Amino acid sequence: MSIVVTIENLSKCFKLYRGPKDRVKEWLHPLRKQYHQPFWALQDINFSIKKGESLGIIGRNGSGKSTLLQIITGVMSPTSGVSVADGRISALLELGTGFDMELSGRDNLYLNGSLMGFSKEQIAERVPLIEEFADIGEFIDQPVKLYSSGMFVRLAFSSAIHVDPDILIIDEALAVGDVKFQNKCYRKFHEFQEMGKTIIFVTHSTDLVAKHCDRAVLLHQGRLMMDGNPNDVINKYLELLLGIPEKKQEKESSQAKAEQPRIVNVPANSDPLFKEFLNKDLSEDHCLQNPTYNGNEHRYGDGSGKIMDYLVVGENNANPLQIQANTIIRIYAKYHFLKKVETPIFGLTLKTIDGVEVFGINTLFERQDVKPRETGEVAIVSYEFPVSLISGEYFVSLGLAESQSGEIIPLDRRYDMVHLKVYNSSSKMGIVDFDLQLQELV
Amino acid sequence: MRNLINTLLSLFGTIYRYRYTIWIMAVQEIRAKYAGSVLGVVWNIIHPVVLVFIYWVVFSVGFKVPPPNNIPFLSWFFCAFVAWQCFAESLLSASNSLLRNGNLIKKTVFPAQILPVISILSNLINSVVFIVLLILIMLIQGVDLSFYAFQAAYYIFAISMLSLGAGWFFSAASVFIKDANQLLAVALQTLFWATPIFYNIGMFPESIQVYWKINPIYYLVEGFRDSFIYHRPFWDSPELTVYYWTFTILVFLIGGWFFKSVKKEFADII
Repeated sequence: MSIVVTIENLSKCFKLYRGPKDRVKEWLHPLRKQYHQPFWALQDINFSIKKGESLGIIGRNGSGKSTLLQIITGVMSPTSGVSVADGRISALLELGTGFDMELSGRDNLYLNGSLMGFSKEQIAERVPLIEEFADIGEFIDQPVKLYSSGMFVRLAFSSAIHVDPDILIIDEALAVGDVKFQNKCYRKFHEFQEMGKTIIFVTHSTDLVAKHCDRAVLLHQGRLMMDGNPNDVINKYLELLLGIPEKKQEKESSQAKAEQPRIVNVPANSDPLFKEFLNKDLSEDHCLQNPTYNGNEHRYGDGSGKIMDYLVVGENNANPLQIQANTIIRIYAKYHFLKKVETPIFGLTLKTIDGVEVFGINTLFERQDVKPRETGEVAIVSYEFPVSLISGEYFVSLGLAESQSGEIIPLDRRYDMVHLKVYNSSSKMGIVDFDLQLQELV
Repeated sequence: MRNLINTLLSLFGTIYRYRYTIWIMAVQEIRAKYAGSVLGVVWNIIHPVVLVFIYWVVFSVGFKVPPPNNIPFLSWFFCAFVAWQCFAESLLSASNSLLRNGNLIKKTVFPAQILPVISILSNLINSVVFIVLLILIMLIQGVDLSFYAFQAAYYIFAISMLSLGAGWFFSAASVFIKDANQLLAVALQTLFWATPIFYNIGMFPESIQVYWKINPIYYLVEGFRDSFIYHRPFWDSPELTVYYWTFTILVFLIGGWFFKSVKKEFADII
């Protein structure tokens, strides 16, 4: 497939001055003394986007997402490197891209259209379509300043998609519209995707990226940290958002090596599968040998606790490769503490294979009391739930964290570690099987 | 030189390409000027009328300034004043146009070089109001009009070209130095008194009159007087015409070149 956006060695530096005076001083200084602080919003970014791809750009606030978009659209020029886009770009950067507040909605459509290089007649053809999609009624002839933020974004979005773009860029803006309109927008996205158009989507919502994008890039402190399939990138992003720096992991784990794992109070449980699980050797990580283990798990944490083993029990089978929907499964997990932890947090999350969270639970949010743990102690936690899911593949993430004066410190998080294949005899749509009763009454 | 010519061509190319955008936005600027206040259009007339009245009271009634060349002072003075006012207002609004439309530059792919064009274009309506007022005063004071009055269109064009070149320069500069427009306003104030608007250049000895003629605005104000009062065509003063256009093209080139070379930094700073 052909490449529509190429970004090579792209960097952007802003000059930060303490005040306008400094700019003049620097300009006039005979020895070219620098009065500014350079700030690198983007550094050495390289990637390309193929035609028809839907790319999600994620990153924390201030990671350079907006700057990157401004450069791709051509609003800003890079300090070095190149950004080449092939085709008509329609961008919805922030609210109401270039709308003139005093003009009516209709006049703004003409203004925007003229900027995109359309003639008056071409715009006149499109206006009814835009009006219909935006669905703001009489307000189309009112000055834009009287619009509610919802109406504003509806018109802006509508106008952005009706200029026949080859590349559509959407910023966070959509969050403002109501659910009905958002749905309409997503339908339009899919239409665009089917037509082979390129979409660049920037958002904080990882679910949206998981759902609508087939590739994602992660920006962190102005650098391209990761480029790959949405789920992997989202995991990395969540680690950045919730986690702590990785380097700490090494140091503390080597420190704690000496602590021998031990189980203190052996629970009474008649399940033979559990007994076998319980009696397994505690000296190594057994997760990797589990047949349901996902080799692409994403693991991070400070290493002062470890998830060392798990067991999935469904219909009396250990670690079944396929699970019948609407049966009950139980997941046991062994957690090894390498330091004394006053308030541990145990948690589990279930996601679809494209990263949409189905549910998540942890002992902190559930306000469940948990025992403090000594160094070397092994905790065993069981999670039991009915598999009310439609056919498909799912990932379970397990996590161990510590709550320390209100702060959550991840000790060991293993995202997408367990791979569940669910088989549901009916061919329902969606994700969750609600056991819905459908009856023809008359 | 080649570079400069290319710059100039690309500037005109942009103006042509975005002619429809320019039109919509100029109409909007005019509408914005008139809408929003109760009296609307009336204000745009009241302002110059009050000005004229004050000048008339001060100079004709108060100081009893003798009419130069037997032409009533108010007509004679206001004629030049209209030329000045058109120039000053065009230049000031063009210079302010980038900061005023910062939103467009920061958030959309907008050809910033057309913003001063839009300002100047929408300012033409003010020039028309002033010229109508001038003609009314001349009729009241019994000053003869001739076909040469249509020459005003040529001078308005000359004014627009000079203010566009200078407007490109100052509007770009004002992005980097916000005080540039204040400086410009002060400079214009000085230039106003250096231009023979209130006074007649004939009151100075012939030998030093050339110093007044260096000022390109002299060509414009005298041109307006030639058109409305003295009934002289602009080709009667070929040296001044050539001088003015050389000066204007230079300003145009420098302004256009400066604008183009700093343009890509606008979005970073505004």
